[in-house]
Amino acid sequence: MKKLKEQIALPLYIMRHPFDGFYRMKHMNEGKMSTAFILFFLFWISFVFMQQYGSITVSTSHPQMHNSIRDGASIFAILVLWSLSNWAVTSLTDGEGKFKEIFMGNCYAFTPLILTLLPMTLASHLMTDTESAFFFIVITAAVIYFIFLAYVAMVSVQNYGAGKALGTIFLTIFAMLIIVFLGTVLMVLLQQMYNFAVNIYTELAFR
Amino acid sequence: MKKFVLFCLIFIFAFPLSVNAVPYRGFTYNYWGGPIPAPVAYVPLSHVNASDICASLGSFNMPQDLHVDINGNIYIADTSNHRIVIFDRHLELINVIDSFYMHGALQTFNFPRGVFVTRDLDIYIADTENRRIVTLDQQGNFLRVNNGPEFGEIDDHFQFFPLKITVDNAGRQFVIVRGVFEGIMRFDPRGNFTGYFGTIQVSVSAIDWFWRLISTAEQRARQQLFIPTEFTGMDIDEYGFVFTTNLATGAGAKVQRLNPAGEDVLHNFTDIEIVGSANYSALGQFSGPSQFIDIVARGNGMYTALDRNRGRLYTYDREGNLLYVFGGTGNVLGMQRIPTALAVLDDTILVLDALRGEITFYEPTELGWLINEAVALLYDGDVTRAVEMWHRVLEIDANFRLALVGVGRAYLAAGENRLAMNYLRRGIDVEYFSIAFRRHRTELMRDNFYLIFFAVVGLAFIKPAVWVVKKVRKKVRPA
Repeated sequence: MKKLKEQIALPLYIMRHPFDGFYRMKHMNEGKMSTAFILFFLFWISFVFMQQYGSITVSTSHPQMHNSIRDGASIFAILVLWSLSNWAVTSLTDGEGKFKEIFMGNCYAFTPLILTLLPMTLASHLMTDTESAFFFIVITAAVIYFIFLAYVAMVSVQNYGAGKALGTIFLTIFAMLIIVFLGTVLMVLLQQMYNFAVNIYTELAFR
Repeated sequence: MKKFVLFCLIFIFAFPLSVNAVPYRGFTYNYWGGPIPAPVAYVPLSHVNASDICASLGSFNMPQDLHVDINGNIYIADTSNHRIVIFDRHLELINVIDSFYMHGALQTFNFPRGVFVTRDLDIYIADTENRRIVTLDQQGNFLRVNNGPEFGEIDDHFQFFPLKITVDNAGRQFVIVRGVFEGIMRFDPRGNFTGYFGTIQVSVSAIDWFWRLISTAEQRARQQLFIPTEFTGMDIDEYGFVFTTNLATGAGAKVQRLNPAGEDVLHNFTDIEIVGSANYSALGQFSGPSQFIDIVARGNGMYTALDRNRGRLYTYDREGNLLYVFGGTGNVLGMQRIPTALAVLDDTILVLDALRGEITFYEPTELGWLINEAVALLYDGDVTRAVEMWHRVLEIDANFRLALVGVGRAYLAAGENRLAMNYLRRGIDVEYFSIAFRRHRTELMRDNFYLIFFAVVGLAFIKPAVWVVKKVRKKVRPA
């Protein structure tokens, strides 16, 4: 029970005091990888819950378009890709953060989204189409706060100035594109190599 | 073993009887524009060729047009046989017109491609290769002839090849002419050309525009011109508005309803465009967009368009809702090879197949009849009875969105907010759902006012009460 309390305490503290909180996460070893995964899991669950159970005044998407597993996997893939690129960029530009800390920081930043998505989804069933604006205002505010927290996480973890962190964001996006490009090239090459091997095998087999 | 064989035989012979013998499947589009299966609204009753009407008629040879007059008699432009065949709804031959006397001279037709009969039962025939429109009476006696615009009125190269003709109640003639891209040619009752009517938008793609931009004047002169496609079919509704179809591939409207000024006034309040097939594959079998070849005004704002590409008939109401789809390509009863024209005889739909020289008669099923009836009742403003029809439609097809919304809105008007919410949610009508929900919410609040009031007041009093209790305890304890 005490362990659970500890795990909840830091994300909530980070929401109120982001700079102090992320400092504690990194330098006082209060951040835990297990908490990070739990937060990611909760975010995934609340995201899926919003899509699946939102009132038709806030969401009219086709039920068949949703795939909880696929959604979770893609969110996780983007998260890992972002953390990896960020780590690659910052290790070249005097960042002090480790990969683990970067990943953890991003996961801890999910807290405002987790806290708003679920209650707002329930509240959407009390709203008409005009009142659904409240839903979108709250969700947008939560997303903005999430971005702010992720930014603060980078500043604290890497021990960067505000301007440098901003520049690093653009470099990170660039690095993400490079990784995706290289990944695609590698896939194509591997496929061609595989085809080549299969061709040789068939040629030999039918001699 | 014997039993088993017997069982198999029963199974084999019983099964085809239990499935519907209709060779196509019905569908409509859901809120997201995807196709969802629906029960068929029309079933093929029979197909009729010339020898079914009269053995001496031989067979129809590439017939191009079909028309039903106000008495329910059927006229066929039997193009390659150079004749007009008239018969009634019981397939009794009335008349075959292949020649007439004009100013004392015997005249024949030369590939007549269009036929139209007015309210006064004058027969207008687009005598295509003779380059004229001939008007005859019911006995085939000559009344008038329209040879098109005077020589030199348009330009010296112009030649008048009328393909389709429609006449309004004032006797004005609307003619689709081969090779004329400016619009439908309009003539006054005496046959004088009064101008073009209706246009088809030309869409130029970004790539075409780019090539045009970088090409020289000489190259440009040799390129293909961006000209609109021709009109393919026409019909006139009870208000004198002309429905037209065309083969536009780009952004232009494929179906138009032209007012007397030639403006397109077709309504579409839905998110799905009136293009027939809304999603299709670009390659392979049954690919490409629908190609509307003819259209018929059904009254009550309904219209049915015939897709040459897939042999299907798409029926819409006046708000642009797709009501039902039926038909297909093939050789069996109910399918088409090269459909060229369609007409309506009461609730029956007639489709003319040029290649087979046959007319297919489609009869409405209970579903089709209910939908037609509901649309007609709504058009007359009789919502109460229309909703009864929608209820019966929903018993057959629970996915029919128009019915769900219709029933939902009716419940809303009747004050049954809870039921209205249920139907409107299923019909995904967010606006009316919200109205129903707002009323339901207000109702709930009003009915449970005391409960809510005391709950709120009670919550507000918890803190002071706790404070008071603590204070009292403190006072009590020392004593």
